[in-house]
Amino acid sequence: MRMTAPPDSPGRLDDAALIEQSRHRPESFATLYDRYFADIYRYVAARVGAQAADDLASETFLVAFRKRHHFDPGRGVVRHWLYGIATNLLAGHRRSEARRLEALARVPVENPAEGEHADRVAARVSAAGAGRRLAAELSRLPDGERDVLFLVAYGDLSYEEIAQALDIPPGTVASRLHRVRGRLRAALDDLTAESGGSDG
Amino acid sequence: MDELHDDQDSRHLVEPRHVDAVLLLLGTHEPPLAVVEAGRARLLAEAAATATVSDPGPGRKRLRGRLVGAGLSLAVAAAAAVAVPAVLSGSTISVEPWPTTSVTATSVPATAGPTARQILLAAAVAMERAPADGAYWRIGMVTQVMLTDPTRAYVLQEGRSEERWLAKRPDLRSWSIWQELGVKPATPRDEAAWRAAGAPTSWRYPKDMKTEQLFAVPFGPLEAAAGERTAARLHGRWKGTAGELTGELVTWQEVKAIPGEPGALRSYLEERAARRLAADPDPGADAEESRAQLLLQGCLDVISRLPASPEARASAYRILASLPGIRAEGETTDPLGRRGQALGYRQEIEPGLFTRVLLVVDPATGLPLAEVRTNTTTLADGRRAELRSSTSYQAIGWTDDRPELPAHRE
Repeated sequence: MRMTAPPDSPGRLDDAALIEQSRHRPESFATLYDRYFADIYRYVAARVGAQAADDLASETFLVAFRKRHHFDPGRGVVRHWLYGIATNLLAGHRRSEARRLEALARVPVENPAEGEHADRVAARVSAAGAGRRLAAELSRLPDGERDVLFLVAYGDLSYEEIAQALDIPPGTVASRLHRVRGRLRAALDDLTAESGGSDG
Repeated sequence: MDELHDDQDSRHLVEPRHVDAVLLLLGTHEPPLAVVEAGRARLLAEAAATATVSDPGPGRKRLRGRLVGAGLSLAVAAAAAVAVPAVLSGSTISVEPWPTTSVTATSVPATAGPTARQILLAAAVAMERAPADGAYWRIGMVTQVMLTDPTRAYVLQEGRSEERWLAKRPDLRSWSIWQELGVKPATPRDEAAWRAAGAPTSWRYPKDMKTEQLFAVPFGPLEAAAGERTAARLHGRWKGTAGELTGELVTWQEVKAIPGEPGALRSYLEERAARRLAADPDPGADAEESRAQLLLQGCLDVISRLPASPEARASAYRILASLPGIRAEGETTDPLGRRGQALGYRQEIEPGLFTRVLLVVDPATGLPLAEVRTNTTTLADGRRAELRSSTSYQAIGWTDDRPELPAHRE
């Protein structure tokens, strides 16, 4: 479900070498695209929806390509650098992201008579309720906290990697993640209770 | 650095079950092949342009406009991505002018046909003659929803019929009677793919199934067989209510107070929308657009769901006729095979993602026949398939009949 960088194998140019090579042979950059486009797409699509992701994910690689001269292998790996670029581009779509979460938070539950529906529908309804609470909580997260949460959830990045991707101190990442954890616990306590009860 | 990760694994700070909940809510979207290829072509074009110059200076804008243009037109072509409409009924809608691209040009009717305004005004006139009272307010409807099978090899259609009998008099009971109509392949082509897959009669969806847009994974298995016709007395929060208006239950007294005159009805619906937006603010959305969306939904609820007066329902049609985003799409057949006039509009289900909604109206009675929402999806073999979800109305109005209650109760 979560993608990590494929392991480097003998005979395979590593990412930093590809960047180096792309300075003289620009088309080499396409190999990085092939390696990481799906990862970046999943991350972006989760935040702004697949529709906007079509363009934003592709834009991420164009920006990376133009900035390839500035990539510093001493400050982390290419994959995390790409997540950082995607996150910067997403900052221009905060409103879209908030609207999408708000829409998810407001998806109505149609159950005309309480208890009248089949189990399946009841399960959908309670899950929808928990999903709405989660969506509402995500929409209330400060931008910086939402960034780190999604980099963990969709990028599987660690503290250090997030710090490098966003160019912020690791301590800041740690404190943001700590606050996110508390907020999610509060929002999802009910979810856990409900899903536990509706099993089977 | 690797040792550092072991100590400070960020997954320890965000609990895995919380990460899973986020993934379940927002889905894991795989890039469509066409998008992967378009992005790659965009990058290679930029690379090719760069290859001819030794070191592009910052801010240089070669080819950029053209390439971005190409990317955008692909995005437009994919504009009808997917969503499962079952969750859409009260979500935000956006009433906007239709785009003038070729995507919709083919569906614009010949100028000879009636306009949306003419159809809506004819429906309004017919609606004014509808009976204004009876023992029960009755709505009969069939809901059909399409979704892919768990392997995304073909499209399934799930059906359900439902009657609501709402009694205003306290000596009569209100009922809901429903029946699951079963699940079957949506089209002959889907049926062929279903047979090739061994003609299963039950479908179980993995909890972590890749989802698209607002698609919700069914929690339990889907069954091909139809269910039993079942009745339940309406109680709980439905006791004493006369239906829903923009997602909120309303009492008989509130419905009676819905104004009949078009200007007053519009003010009433707009004030309701403003109250709701004040109570439940939507910081991300354009306030004016949200109000327009709630106004349109309010009109549709007054017409197709609520026991409002014939005057109020006629006025709701007149308000719809005055909105800019609604287009006449000519005569059409609704999901139950009935002829009617189609009115189309777009609903924004997430930023930049629109679903196409057709409201099919019988101009002779003024009654809506069906609301049909259409999106498309890409199946596992790359085939584009339409996902339609519809509510078809078999009855809307007052009656002195009594419900035929099945033996099976809940």
